[in-house]
Amino acid sequence: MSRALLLKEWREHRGSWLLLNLLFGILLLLMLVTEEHHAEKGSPFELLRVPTLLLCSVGALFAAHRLVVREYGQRTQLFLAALPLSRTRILVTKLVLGVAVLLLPLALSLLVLWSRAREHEEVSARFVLLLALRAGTPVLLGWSFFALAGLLGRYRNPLYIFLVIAAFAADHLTELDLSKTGPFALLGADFAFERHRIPWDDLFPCWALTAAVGALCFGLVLYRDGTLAELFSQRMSHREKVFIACVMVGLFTVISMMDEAKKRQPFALHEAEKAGVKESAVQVASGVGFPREQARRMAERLAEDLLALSDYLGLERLPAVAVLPIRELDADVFQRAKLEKADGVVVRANLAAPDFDPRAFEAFLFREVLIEASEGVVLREERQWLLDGFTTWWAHRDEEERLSMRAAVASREDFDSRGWLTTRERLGPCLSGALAARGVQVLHEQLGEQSFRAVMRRILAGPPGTGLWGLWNEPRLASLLRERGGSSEDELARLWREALRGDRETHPKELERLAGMRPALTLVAESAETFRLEHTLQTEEGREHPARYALLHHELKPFEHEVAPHELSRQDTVPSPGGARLPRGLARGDRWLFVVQVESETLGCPIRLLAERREIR
Amino acid sequence: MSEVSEPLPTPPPDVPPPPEPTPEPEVILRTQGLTRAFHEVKAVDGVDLELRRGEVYGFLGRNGAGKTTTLRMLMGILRPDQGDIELMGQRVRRVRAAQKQQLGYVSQEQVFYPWMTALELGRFVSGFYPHWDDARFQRLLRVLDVPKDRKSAQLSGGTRMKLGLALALAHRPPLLILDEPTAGLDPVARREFLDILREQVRREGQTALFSSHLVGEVEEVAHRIGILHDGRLRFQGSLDTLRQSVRRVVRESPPEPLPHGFSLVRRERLPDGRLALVLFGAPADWTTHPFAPEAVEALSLENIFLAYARRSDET
Repeated sequence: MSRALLLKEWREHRGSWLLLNLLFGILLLLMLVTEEHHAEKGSPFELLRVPTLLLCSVGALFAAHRLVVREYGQRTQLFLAALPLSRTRILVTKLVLGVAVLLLPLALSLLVLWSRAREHEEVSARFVLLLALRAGTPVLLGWSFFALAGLLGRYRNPLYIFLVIAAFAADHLTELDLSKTGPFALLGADFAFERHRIPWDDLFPCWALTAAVGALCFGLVLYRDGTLAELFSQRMSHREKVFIACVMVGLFTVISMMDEAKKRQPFALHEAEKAGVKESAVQVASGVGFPREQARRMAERLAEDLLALSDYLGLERLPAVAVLPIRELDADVFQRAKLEKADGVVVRANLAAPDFDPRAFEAFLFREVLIEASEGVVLREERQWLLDGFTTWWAHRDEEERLSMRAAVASREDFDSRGWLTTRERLGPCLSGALAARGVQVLHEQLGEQSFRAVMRRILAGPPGTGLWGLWNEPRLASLLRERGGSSEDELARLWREALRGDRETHPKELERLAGMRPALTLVAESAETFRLEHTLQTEEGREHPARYALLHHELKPFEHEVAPHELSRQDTVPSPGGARLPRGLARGDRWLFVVQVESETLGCPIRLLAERREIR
Repeated sequence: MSEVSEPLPTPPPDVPPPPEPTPEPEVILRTQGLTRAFHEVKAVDGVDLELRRGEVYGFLGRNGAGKTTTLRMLMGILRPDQGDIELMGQRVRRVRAAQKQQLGYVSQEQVFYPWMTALELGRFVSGFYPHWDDARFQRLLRVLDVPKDRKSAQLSGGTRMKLGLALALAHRPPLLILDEPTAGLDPVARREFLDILREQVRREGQTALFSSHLVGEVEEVAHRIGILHDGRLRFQGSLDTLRQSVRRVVRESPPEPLPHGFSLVRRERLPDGRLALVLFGAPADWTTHPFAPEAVEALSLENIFLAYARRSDET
């Protein structure tokens, strides 16, 4: 470190650093002001991800530009080299200064969030240390990378382009999940929630990479007395520009070829009944209790419905669809298979079950088809209610009365369409679909057929692409409503709730029946580390007891999001005053999803009375 | 082309000694076998320099001869591939930061922070020198006529060079290393710069190593010179010795073995087709040489430099 050089850097960059910190201060202030809006994210520390991401990318790039690129770009490193100052000290001073500049706003953000969080929850020192490690490590890695790129002078911009292409190619063409690797994993979904486990598996590679990149920086600065770094800082020759352009074009060509080669064939189900739809096919296999004739009829009906759906939404192509009968599933549970070597939508359902609901199955199938066609874009949470609502509405167009009844039951508690996954888990796919379908109906009434169709096409069938670019460009419902001269989202929500109130007034009977049911879950310690779960369903005096109820349960993996219905285990129980017991032990510290549901013949789908994620303790 | 063989020739006793500062001056800088290559090209090849306290040493050579590389090695900016540097009695492979505090350096290209004024540059540079004399720096700026409050980006080339000189002198370094400081300066600025340098060295008793490819300015300020060609030191000694030691001999016949004591500097083909040899010999040898007196002619310093710095003509 050199004090004189530190002072020089401070004098040279103080304006921009103050500006940087001012911007971060404003950002922090905005985050705190809008904290309530972010409250649904579950932890105030979730907000720390924003400054971390900014500092390890834009902030590090900015610091590297100021501290490294400018020095070499102006060739003032030659002036420094003539002073009694070694190159090692120059680089150490700059690296340490960069670290300080980037970590200071991060530390301040963490401190502010910590002080806010302490007001309403216990925040251990270990958790704060964990957050500091998880946020600081990517920032250090980003800084060392951009410092090295700065020393690469004229090759830094081609390097950035190359890395973006490489990351895209790795993400797109290989099985590597970047979001679960190194710094991306540290800033993953569990960033603000993991309080105990130190993610050494992600920290060590990041630290090793930071050290390696730092060593490369020193190597570059010291190699042949800095002549290489000096050479890199000179302007690019015409020949080099042509060469790099050729390399980039070649890279694009190779990636395009690999992408072409990676395209998989549509899934083909041999010995299945087939019906063509556009250039694709619906294939339905027969099985025990589900003869070929029934399979053929189902294939034809699904093909007809899919064709109508694709025409309505303007889908240019449809994926291959295959339906397999399976007797092991409950009638109301449908399962989509993961395909390793082919493209398409392959679903399994208990097609032979007497209470199999073809409309619910169609709604599920249409949903999966739209997810496949949009490469998953329609799954974004804030618009997922439109996906669920539209597919349910489409499948039940001639059953509005039943939808209305289901919506009445589904809306007995308030909901937030932006936090749709929570609503979906609380209600289950059948009732949440009906609830969303009611919203879609209201939207349809509000906009009229033509505008409604155009909006649905933009939202469900015309995704602008995957990734960040797609996210940036995707049409938001609010802006589409404005475009079509409709009202705001708030107005839509108000009308939706009014419609639901009307449904509840029209169908009070089922609601009254449910109002008297009191499910309860009790954890009873059996030892210091094990517990048992006791559950009951009590009914108010004078009210009709349900013949049975079901306890659905699933052990949650760390930070598991949505639990698919087929992943839930089921215990059917006859209500009794003494309650029942889950026939398995529960270990302290595990997390479970418990659902208590009753069947409703009137509605034709199960009603979830309780859905709760619980940590065993 | 022959080269100077060790030991380098010393002036004859009958020639009055050049105006050197001390009769037996202390050696302030000595290099031994200094070598530095860039890839396959040896930019500096076994250079043995010797600078004595209080002298101005002119380091002559064509562009690309290896002067800047040599000076950058002396400044510790580059590491020699081979050879040692003895700086003020300390023998090192590479000049370290602490030793650089004893040096003042003016490079041929003055790259300053464009946003800094002369005063700010002085404040910044002073942080690296424990013996920085700010009053002296201010006085130097005044004497050199460098505007104190103008950003360095707004200064002319000559003024930037003078600012570089002020920065190099303000900590009173015993040794000043100047790398073609007048290159790119107009005649007036060059004249001013040389006057100031000469005055500073005379008044402060500093030693200066002054590289240039202009013979005239070296002749004007240097006590001793070194001629570098293709990375090798071809001559080192006083200007008078050089003038008295190198002469041109015009020959009618092809060359025959040279008389003892003479070495060939360059073979030339004159415009009339005759052959001429530029020879180096001790001044005493030239008094007893075997050549016809009309065939021997004295050379100007510029011609001597050209003889050292050019390849021989074909025979």
